[in-house]
Amino acid sequence: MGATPDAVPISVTTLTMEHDLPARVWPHIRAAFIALVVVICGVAAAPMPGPGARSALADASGQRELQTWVDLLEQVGITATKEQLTDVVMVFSKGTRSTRSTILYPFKHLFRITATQQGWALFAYPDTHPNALVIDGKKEGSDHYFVLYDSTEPGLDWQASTLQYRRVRALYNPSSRAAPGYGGLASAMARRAFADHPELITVRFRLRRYKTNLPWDGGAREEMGYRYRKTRHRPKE
Amino acid sequence: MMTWALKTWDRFVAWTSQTESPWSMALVRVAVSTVLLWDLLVVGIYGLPPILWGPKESGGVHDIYRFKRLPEVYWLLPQDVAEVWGGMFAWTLWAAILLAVMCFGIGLFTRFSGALALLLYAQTAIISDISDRGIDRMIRIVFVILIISGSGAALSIDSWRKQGSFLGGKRQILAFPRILLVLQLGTMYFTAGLAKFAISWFPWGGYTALFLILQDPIFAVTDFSFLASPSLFWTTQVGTAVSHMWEITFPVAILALWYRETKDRPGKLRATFNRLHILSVYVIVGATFHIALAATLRLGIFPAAMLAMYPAFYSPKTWTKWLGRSDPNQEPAPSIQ
Repeated sequence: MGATPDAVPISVTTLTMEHDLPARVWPHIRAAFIALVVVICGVAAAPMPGPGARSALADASGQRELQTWVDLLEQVGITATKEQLTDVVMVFSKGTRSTRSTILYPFKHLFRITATQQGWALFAYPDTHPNALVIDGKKEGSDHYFVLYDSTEPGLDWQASTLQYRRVRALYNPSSRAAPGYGGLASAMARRAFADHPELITVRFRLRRYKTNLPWDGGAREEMGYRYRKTRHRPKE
Repeated sequence: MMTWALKTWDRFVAWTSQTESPWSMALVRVAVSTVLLWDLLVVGIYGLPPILWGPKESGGVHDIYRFKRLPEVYWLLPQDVAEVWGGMFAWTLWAAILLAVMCFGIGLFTRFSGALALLLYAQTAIISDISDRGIDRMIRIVFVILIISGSGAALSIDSWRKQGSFLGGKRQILAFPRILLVLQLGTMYFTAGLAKFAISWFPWGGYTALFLILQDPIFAVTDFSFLASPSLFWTTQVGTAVSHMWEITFPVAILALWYRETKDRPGKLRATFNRLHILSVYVIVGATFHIALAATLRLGIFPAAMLAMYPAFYSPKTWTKWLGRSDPNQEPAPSIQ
């Protein structure tokens, strides 16, 4: 280690009562604790194959992923439908998740209270159908909405810094369904919009969906319409 | 067999009992705390505590009193006063975390302030699990390691109070927490690499992952559709391949660290690893990877916080050499446990 030895721990093979037991035994307890931590963290961090829920494979990105695997397996002589592949993935996924939960059960309160759960999936499944947040509002007596924020348009940047901040982004970036807190965020941002724009009577919060084409499929991003629409009206005085 | 096992155990015990100067861990403590402080200031500047961590009754996004298990800090705020005091309560929680992280960063009552910061920061994750990201968990894990390591023995007010110098004196700390921290980094990178099951991360999927990520308007800092051009698309394929390979081969970096830490021992592989500076190659690729992410994607503090943990890759001896200080390890010293 390039380091100096601490109070030299006595070998377990020669440990006797003649030694200063507490001071000599402590390094062994510490080492056992370190070994336990490494094992538990290793189990906690072990990646789980497939998603935890079948619904994650039901959306467009999941279906595209499954289709690619089906095509790939067919090339090596294995015929399987997307449904069959989903069944296999889910059996394997649920089995490994259940085993991990059983092993980690005694430590779950410690992980919860310190919020130090392991499990790292950084862009494990890049989204082939990404979204852009669009917030627009309507003035009294007008039928037309005007855009306050559109993450794809540099000029339409009302509250852009806040909306792009990582913790806020997580509240509207969907997985296979709308993010938890999506409606609450729509309400919170509507309150800000009403405060910043006294002329507004309605604020709309929605996601514009795209399909990302790969270069050999044309390369351009296709618009797929809007979803998760939330409308908020100015409270009556 | 039994003798071999006992001897191996004795070697492990001796290894976990070794000590070193606190410099590497102190650098990590200061750097990680600084990054987290910045992030907390951003939360404050944008007026987000009541939205993220306040109850729904006062404008928060989460219906906290309907959670299966009420977050412990909310034992202090009865629901019937939440509408009036909820916002103030969230601001108080934010201020308490900010203060605790600041004290941890400057090393004032380091262990106590670190533990307080850890538990309060964890409450924000319990309140708003969805807005608590992987990097927040990583920071909390590193906080645990820093707290047990005695990282307050240098670059701290505690070291100034106890040893007469902010930079630290001759005190030593146990060396294993630094190795645990590197193991944690290795675990994160390696398992993140293994978890990349999507076909776009593999050659048979065309190594398209990075291209897809850069087309996501929520993450991309600008419109990267020009990367579909054949003359540029290959750069995203190279980026995908290198970053994935770097992650799934990260155990090699851990081996390289072990070889460097035990460079006085014999072995051709050890000598080769040290001669080729394999660990530094991994560190440089990693730093480049994080800087590139920071330049192209909106990932918040993720790149900076990960880089803030990198001082642990190098021993205090190396740091004191690079920073032009004499190495406290060369002089006999009392240890802190």
